[in-house]
Amino acid sequence: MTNSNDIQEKKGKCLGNMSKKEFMSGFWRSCGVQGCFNYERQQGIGFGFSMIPHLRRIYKDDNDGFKEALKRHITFYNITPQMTTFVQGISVAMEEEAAENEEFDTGSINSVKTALMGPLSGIGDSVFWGTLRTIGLGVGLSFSMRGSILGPILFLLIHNIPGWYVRYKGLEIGYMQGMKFMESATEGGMLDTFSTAAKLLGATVVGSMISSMINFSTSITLDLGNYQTLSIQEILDSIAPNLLPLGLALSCFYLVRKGKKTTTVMLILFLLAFVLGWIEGLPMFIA
Amino acid sequence: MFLVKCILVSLVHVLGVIDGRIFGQNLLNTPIVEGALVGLIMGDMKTGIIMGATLQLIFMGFVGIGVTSLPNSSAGTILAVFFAISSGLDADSAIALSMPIALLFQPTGIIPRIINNIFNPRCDRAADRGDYKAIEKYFWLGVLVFAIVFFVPMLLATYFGQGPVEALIRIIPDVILDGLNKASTLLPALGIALLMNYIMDKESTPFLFLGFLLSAYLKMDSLGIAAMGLIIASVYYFFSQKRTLD
Repeated sequence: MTNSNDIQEKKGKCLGNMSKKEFMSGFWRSCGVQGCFNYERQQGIGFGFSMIPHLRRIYKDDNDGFKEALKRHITFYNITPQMTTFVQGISVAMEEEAAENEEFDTGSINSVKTALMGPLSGIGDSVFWGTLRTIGLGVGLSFSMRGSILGPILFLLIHNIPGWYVRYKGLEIGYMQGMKFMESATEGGMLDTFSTAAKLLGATVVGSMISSMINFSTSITLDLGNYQTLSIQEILDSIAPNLLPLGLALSCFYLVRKGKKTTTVMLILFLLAFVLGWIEGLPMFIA
Repeated sequence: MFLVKCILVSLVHVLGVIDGRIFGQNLLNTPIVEGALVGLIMGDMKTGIIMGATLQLIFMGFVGIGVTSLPNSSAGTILAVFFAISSGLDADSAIALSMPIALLFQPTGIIPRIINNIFNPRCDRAADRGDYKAIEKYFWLGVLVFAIVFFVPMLLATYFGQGPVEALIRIIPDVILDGLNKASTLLPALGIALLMNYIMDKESTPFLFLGFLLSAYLKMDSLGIAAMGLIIASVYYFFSQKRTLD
C-alpha cells in the first residue's frame, strides 16, 4: 500500500487517485465536449472522449469493466460546456467506486449525470449566456462602436476568464466531493439505497427533458370548407400539453427496449420527419 | 490573392464553429469578434469592428442554447463584412443583406449535427470491443465534419459572390429543408430514449411521468424539477437509512 502510494507520489500525485497528468488530460479533453455533437446523443461522444483517460486508469486491469464504462459514457449528454467538468469529476469518483465495489449499481452513474446536467445547465446558461455575455457585450460594444480593437478583446476576456476558472475548478470540486460522498455512503452500507434514490431523481429529470427538449409539434391543419379549419395540434393540446414529444419518446424507448438498433430507430425518425415535413408543406392543409 | 483572402475568411467561419466544438466555446463565433477578424484579413479592420458591433446588436437575440437550430449569424456577419470591404457595398446595404444570408446558411448548422449521428452506433460497437482509440477517431471525424460543412459553402460564397449563391439556394426544394428541420426536432427523442434505457425500471417509471407533468403542465424549469426530484430522492434515502438503523 505504502509502496503504491510512493509510486504515485513520484509521478506527481494531484488529487485523490488522479495524477496531475490525468487531471490535465481530462481537463483539456473536457473542452471538446461538443466535438462530435449530433441530434441524437448531443454531447455524448464528447463526454466519453473526456472520460477516456480516467477510465483507462480506473479499469487498467479489468477489460470488461472498461468496455461497460465506455458504453455508459457515450450515451445522451448535454450541459453548458463550462460546467461539464463538475459532472466529469463526480462520474470519475463513481466509476472508482464501481470498479472497487462489485455490488455498486452502475445504473446510478447515468442517473446522477442526468440529474445534474439539467440544473447545472440552468445555472451555467444564466451565468455565462445571460450575465457574463451581456456584461461583456455591454463593455465591448461601447469600444467596438468607435472602431477600437479593445471591443472584441474585452468582450472575450470578460466572458472567458470566469469560464476557464469554473471549468478547471469544476473537475477538482466534482471529483473530491464525489469521492467524499461515496466514502460515507459505503461506510453506512447505503449504496443500494443511494442507487435507487439516484434513479428516482434521474427519472424525474428525464421526464422533464421529454417535455422541454423535444420541440415536436405539427402545423397540419385541415380545411373543412366554409372558412372552418381543424388544427391537429390544437386538438392534441386540448387533451394534454406536449403529447407528441411524450408519444415520440415512449415509442423510441419501446423500440430500444425491444432491441431495435439505434440506426433503425434513427431511420424511422428520418422517414417520419420527411413525411411530416412534406405533408405540412402541402397547400391543401394550409388554412 | 483574392482566393487566399476567400480561404482565410472561410477559415474564420470554421474557427467560429470549431471554437464551440473543441476549444470550450469561447464565443469566437460572435459578430463582435468575427467582424474584427474578417476586417483584419480584408485590410480594413476598423470597418470590420464597427460593422461587427452593429451586427452584434441585430443578432443579439440569437442565442443558441441547447439544440434549437438558429439562423447562422456567423455566416451573415462574415459575408456582410466581406461584401462591404471587397465589393464596396455600402455598410447599410451589407447589413440589410446579413439576415437573409444567415437564413440561407442555417442548414450548415443542421447538416453536421445530422451527419454525426452515424458515429453513434460505431462508437457503441467500439465500446463493446473496448477500443477507446476508435471512439477518439470518431470524435475527431465528427469535428472534421463540422469544419468541412462550414468551410466549403463559405468558400464558394466568398469566391462567387452573393448573386450566384442566392440563386443556387433557391433551387433547393423546400421539402428537403422542411424535412431537415423536422428531423432536428425529432432526433433528440432517440437520445433521451437511450438514456431512459439506463435509468428506467418499475420503481422509477412513475417519476418519469412526474417530471414530464411538472414541465408540461406547470412549465417548471429544469432546476426546479431537479430540486423536486432531489427532495423525493432525499426523503427516500433518509427514510431508508432510518429503517436500516432501527
